Amino acid sequence: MPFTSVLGASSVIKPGVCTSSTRPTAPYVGQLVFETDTNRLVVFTASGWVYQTATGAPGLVLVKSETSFSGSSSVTADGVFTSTYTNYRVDLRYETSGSGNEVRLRLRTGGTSTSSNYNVQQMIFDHATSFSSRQSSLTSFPLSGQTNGSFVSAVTCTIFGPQLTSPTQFIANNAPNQGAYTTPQAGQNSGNQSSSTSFDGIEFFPTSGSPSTMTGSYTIYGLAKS
Amino acid sequence: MTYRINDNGTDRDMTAAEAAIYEQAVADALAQAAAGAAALEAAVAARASAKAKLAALGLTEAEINALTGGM
Repeated sequence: MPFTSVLGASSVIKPGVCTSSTRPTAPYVGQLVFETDTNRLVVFTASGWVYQTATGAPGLVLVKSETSFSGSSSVTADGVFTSTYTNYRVDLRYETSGSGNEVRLRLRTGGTSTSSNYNVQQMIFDHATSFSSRQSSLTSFPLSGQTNGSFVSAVTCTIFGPQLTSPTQFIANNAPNQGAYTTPQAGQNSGNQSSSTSFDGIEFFPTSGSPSTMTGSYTIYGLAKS
Repeated sequence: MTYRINDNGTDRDMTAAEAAIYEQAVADALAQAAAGAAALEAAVAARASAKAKLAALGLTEAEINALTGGM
């Protein structure tokens, strides 16, 4: 028997590798095998065989891989909202070119951003002080509080039902830095785009500076329905 | 002015049409942010005024904070 038939990928005998119908017939408690037909790990316990991973797809599914941008006044991602998922999560890590920058969001259809019917309730926590405000009928959705130049800030935004023909809801948690990393703020911007429009894309843009730009990256995930 | 856009992962200059839309979007956003900031400043001023009036009535800072949640 050649050596390659004993060890490695071509080995005739592969301990711990089987199918769901060829599990060890005399297992011991703690024995772990991998089933090639189910792609799952299963361990033998005092109660029998127990799968070690959940069935189906993971809950958070990558829709748009981490995408970097640099010196951008606008960042777009089209074709990311489909009927595959109802709700999505967007993570945005960025720094801006100027001070007093908000980063705003607009939803898109067919490569065109929509500039109406955004409504927001903002809560900002700045040291021991908190503020809140509501604005309606905006032309874009405020994703973040104001940053102050080249300090990395972050936003995570859950978008509910952008692809549905009903209003889209946003819950954005943001962490801007006000002039130093020792002075972070916490913010939550909740709201909606109240049109009954099915959107397939998203745009981010910073709002001040000449030109106003931002550098960073974003990632978009779909939230599995089941 | 030339603006840069990251268009679905590709960096490029905005077209003239895109730049015009972008400039309008920023102008609108800045006006809305200013309105929001003014509302916030008014709320902060009203809060400070209310606290001063409570203090003038003889409430301690701890008592005022208890009423206002420390805000």
